[in-house]
Amino acid sequence: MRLLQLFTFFMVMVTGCSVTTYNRSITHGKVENPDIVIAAEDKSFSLKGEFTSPFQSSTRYNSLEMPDHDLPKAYRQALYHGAKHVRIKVANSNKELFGVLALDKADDDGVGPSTQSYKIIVPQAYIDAAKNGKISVVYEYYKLKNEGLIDVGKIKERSWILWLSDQDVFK
Amino acid sequence: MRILCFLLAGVVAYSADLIYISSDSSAENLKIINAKYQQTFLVSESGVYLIPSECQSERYFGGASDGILNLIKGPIRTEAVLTTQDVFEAKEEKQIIKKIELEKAFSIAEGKISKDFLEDQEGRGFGGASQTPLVIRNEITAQTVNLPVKADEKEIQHPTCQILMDGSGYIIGSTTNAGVYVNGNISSIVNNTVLFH
Repeated sequence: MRLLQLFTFFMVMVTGCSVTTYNRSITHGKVENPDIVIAAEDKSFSLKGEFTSPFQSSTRYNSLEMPDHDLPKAYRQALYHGAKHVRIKVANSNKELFGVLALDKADDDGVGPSTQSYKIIVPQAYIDAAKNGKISVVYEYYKLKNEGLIDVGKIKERSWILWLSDQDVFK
Repeated sequence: MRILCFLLAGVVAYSADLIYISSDSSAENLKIINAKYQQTFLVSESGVYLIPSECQSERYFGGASDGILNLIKGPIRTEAVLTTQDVFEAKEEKQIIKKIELEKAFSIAEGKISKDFLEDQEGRGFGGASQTPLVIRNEITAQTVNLPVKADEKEIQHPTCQILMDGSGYIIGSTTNAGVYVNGNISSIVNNTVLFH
């Protein structure tokens, strides 16, 4: 019985305190490039320049559970967790890109400006790579307070994630 | 459960010391420091300090693709470059090299790496493993040095920083009348608190 109590206490110490919680809403943001417009497929919002967050998703895709190489195909689960279908208008192109946008709440232990607001950036290299039905994904991330018993210094917690492609592969 | 975690967090919570880099807070020296590190730093009565990585306020970005991603590659490093906006959007290698040089300067100041270990023949790499052989010159043998300690230096309490509970900024401790140097101007710190934007 005593052994069981000790084991339970150990498990609580090891696992309980490492549970992340995403309770902090991020209320506003900015699409950095003035030529880029991100609009909801259902036309419920359009993001250009500074914006108020039209929704909050809960993908909770951190680098520990969702490494970069798995991220391009992870849009389906993201949609299940509140991400939205979007169309992306980019510079120097008349054709809109298809996409999925996640605007997550911040982890309670997150630090830095990325936990306070979104800054959406889509470099040209990722737009160029999203041709012929291929998927690019871009995101912003923040770090966690590294004050606990477990080292979390290298974990990337993503605040916003944008999947994009020139074809409607996200249905 | 949450109470237990909170108590444990409270036990291990700590503040980080700011990185002392100079006692000279003249305008000319601040310009030199700004050119070298290109980041916000603290100017106080006791000196000029860099903000340690625990309390820095940069934004980081990332991405991936299952298509052909033509990214600018920086020099070979054994650690990933922190993907700040400049690096994420880099169109030329020199933008990434510049960031690496700034990181190197900061890491040396922060004491995370030693300058002699850093500088191989080509001036690249952060030590440790590398795809090319590292030629480390000027090997240093540790020596015992007895530095005289001035009486007044013992009294100096260097400033510290501690992240706010909600992660929205940090508190500067152990100093008064300090300011932060940003883009050529010193701004006073309200309530000893610097907020991230």
